[in-house]
Amino acid sequence: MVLLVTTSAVRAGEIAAAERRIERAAETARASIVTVFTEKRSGWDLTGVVVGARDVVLTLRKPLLEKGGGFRRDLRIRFPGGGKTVPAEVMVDDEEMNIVLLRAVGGRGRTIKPRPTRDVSLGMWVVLVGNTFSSGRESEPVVSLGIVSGIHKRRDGTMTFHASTLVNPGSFGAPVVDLDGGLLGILGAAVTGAGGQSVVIPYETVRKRFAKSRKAARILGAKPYPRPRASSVADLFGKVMEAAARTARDAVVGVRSGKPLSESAPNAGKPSERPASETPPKKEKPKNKSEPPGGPRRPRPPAPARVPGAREGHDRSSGIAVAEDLVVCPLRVTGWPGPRRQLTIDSPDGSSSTATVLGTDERLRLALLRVRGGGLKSCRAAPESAAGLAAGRFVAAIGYPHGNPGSQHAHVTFGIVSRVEALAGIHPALHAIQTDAGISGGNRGGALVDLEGRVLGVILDVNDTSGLGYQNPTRRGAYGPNAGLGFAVPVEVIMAVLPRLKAGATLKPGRLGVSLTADRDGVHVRSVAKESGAAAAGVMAGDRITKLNGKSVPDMAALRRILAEKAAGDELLVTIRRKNRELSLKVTLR
Amino acid sequence: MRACLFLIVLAGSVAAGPETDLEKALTRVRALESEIVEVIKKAAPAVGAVVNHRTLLDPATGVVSMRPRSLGSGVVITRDGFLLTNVHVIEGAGYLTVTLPDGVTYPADRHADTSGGRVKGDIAVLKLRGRRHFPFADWRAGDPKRLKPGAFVFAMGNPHGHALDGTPVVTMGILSAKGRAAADKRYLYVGALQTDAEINPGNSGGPLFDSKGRLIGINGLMQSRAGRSNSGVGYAIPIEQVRLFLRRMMRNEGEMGYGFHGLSVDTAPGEKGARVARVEANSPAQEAGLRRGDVITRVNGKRISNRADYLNHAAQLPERTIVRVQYLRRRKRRNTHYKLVSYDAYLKSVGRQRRDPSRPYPLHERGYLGAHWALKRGAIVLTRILSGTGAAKAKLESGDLVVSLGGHDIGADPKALVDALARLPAGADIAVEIERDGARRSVTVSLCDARDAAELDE
Repeated sequence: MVLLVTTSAVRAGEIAAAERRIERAAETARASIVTVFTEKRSGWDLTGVVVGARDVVLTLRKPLLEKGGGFRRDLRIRFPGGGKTVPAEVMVDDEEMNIVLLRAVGGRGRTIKPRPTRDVSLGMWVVLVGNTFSSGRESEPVVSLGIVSGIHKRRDGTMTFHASTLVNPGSFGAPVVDLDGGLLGILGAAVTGAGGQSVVIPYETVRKRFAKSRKAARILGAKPYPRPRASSVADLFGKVMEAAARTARDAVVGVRSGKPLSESAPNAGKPSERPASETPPKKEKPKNKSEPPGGPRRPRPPAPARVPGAREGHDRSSGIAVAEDLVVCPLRVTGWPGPRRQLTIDSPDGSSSTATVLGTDERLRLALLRVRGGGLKSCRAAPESAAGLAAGRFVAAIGYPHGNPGSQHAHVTFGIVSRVEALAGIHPALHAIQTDAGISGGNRGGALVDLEGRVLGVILDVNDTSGLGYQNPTRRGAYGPNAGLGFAVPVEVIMAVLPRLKAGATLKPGRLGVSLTADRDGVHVRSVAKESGAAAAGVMAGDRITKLNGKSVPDMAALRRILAEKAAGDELLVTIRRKNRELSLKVTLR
Repeated sequence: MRACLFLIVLAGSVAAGPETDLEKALTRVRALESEIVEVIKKAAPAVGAVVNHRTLLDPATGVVSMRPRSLGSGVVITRDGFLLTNVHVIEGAGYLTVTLPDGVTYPADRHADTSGGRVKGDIAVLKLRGRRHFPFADWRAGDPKRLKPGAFVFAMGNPHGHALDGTPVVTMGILSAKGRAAADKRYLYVGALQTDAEINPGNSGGPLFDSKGRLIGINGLMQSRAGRSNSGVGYAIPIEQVRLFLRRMMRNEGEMGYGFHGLSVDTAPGEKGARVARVEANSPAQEAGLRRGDVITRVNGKRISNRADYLNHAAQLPERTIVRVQYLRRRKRRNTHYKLVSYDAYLKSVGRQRRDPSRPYPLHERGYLGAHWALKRGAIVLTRILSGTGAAKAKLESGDLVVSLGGHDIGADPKALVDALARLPAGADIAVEIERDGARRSVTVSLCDARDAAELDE
């Protein structure tokens, strides 16, 4: 009982404690940000941060340049809280890193506490404070919360990291701070194709790059960084997230598709020389630089012909290892619905190996691959079923977002369970888990995990519903990068079909072969298709379907849910009511 | 919940002996997680998915139908079923339904909204029917003024129709900023809350809750630049702004609006305040003595240092509010006050009309003949008279040939017939000249509401 009491005491107000920490961080950072703009106000503003000395501002370099090169002469800096606007002059800049130090002539701000790179850890909460959409012109700056999604070492020994804070025009150059409001880095760029992923240039990197300039070095100083104290639940969150991400990402692999396997590709016989006006096919960029054995390096290898069906943007995805040589990945990356393609698996230990397709599930749009050589680390599945999840549970999405340059490790974004049993009537994965964690192209096939790094589901491409008989009600691309609408097929659904896929099955949506209407009494058969399973079993128009496999079906949703678990070729016991008689018919789905 | 926690504690202490740092951290983060789950559980039952069934008219036949056309969200704010949503969610609605998390779809009536101003406000109140007591989120409890940027917020609703079964989709984020004047051409968004909790089409009208599950705003607008950046910029109308209207809205049906000042302002360069760029003739501001070039520095005691401040503190006030204005004229401080009027009242006072009489009414407001028609042998012939409508009362019969409507010859053009009706509201009378058995006669038909004659098509 005592235990219970103490736990409750800890538990009470954790949410308020976490909030306070984020609010304070935002407030601290806000005092040190400035708006950087040109007097003519062309384009979006930039955000800058006061570092080192009270009149020195760090921001991005390129937006401050004239068209022909050279800095613009009308640079201005506006201090926060309705502060002064003063002219700015360039102190020192670094073209490669795209950073610049400006001096605010006659202006003074509040310097921000710096943080070293070692304080950046995967999964920690970070706060961005910037002039999103030039908010600094009239109103307050904008605050956004994210996590450190990935950390990348550069060749020169410095590093950059990715954060899932929002990226919008106006906030470039904005400080990304830890929960103490200490400067970890500034927002350098958006990762193209991976929504909600920003590249952050760490402060320590800035200091190293400017070490050559004596003036800058004197200002930025080399004092030891103050060590922050991490004890609130918001700080502990980072630790837990990091452990979860590290556990889970060992089982998340990258999947790449190459040339089509079969020579009998639909356009193989056709003449392939086309005038240059046709869109040039995308050049393949293998991640590992090893040359294929045999043959000298040709100056320009012929690009592979485009294969119909293998769509743009479907040549890369993530996958989850479910055994040491088995990987579940999105069906699209295998070339479906076109011919199968060569597949390469990039495992988290840095090695690459080829893979072949064992079985496919066209309902869930997933494929099971056998990886040559094996040696993968199998994922840990979450013990509870997806239906037991509640909205609000913390989740992390782990995968390889598209366009992540040179990331060996999967990235991690954070969110909550937005609802369970999502996608009813939209996608066959009817029990999908919905999340607001940032999902983008290459995350497809990645893992949605809980706080202990256990897999709750496989991230689904919700835009990919074509040919399933379900209508995606929204415009194409509505689920754009980081729209906050991500979906995952629960791991138990995948585990249930795994034996069949291992045995080489091709699971297609199972159809009864009837058209149905529903009213208050239940589901009625309107018509029966000729040569369908239902027709063969003797289902007739006008019948009311009461049960499927013994489970009652009061409405269309219940019926769909049961059908979703079945594949073509499966047998289904259909109980119908026909003129006060109850009949049970065995229908083979086709 | 309690039992569950107990288990965690036991597992921690029995299995591992002394807890590692990570386990301790996990316990606390789990506690945070379960608090969030509880907040969502508490708030979610009041959130509804709104379906707007629009009225459609087939000009070739005169058949009116209603189809679910657009989706949105809303939140129940009183026990007896007042629901808060956006005007843009319910615009053009033939009829409205709201599905709550209990899975039940309730019919809803338009009650009042803020579309009466010069620029429309985006606050609407519906009244749900079909249940005595509804679960509700208290509209008096939340206080966004006391929240700081960085506070956790939860947006709930029906993005892209994903919550049509009633269970809302929840996204979590933080309060990014307050007092934002968002750029929207159609509706006035001033003093808005900004959040990085993801708001998508369909979330409109849905609630924004704080970390205690209190209603702090109504989500209505998002900003994104596709391709270049992600979303993560959502705007909500703060509940304190809604409260300025709400009592009146629940008491009275119909339209009201943000009050009309008759001012347009910009930010004075190098000066603190909102500079008056224009004052409309006979407006409250003009009558109170404000002139072009004056710099407004305070409104109702609130300091105004730029145009955004003016929008946030002055433009958000409802009609019939008294406004005290402090301003500078030739560097001299002056004070004045005036009472905001409704835009309609202002227009009437200057002898203008809000509606341009040559503009057609939207379909759900215009009058409906109450008959179907078809083009036969080069003339418009009535094919069916709907019972209970003006056409039936005027004893029109199927087979009658329509010669003219309100004095306009119809000829063989169904479009001319639709156009002749489009400029009359429901309830108006129109002279219909028909030809029956070779004889022409004229009758007066009282136009009905198209929604009453619609074929329900779901």
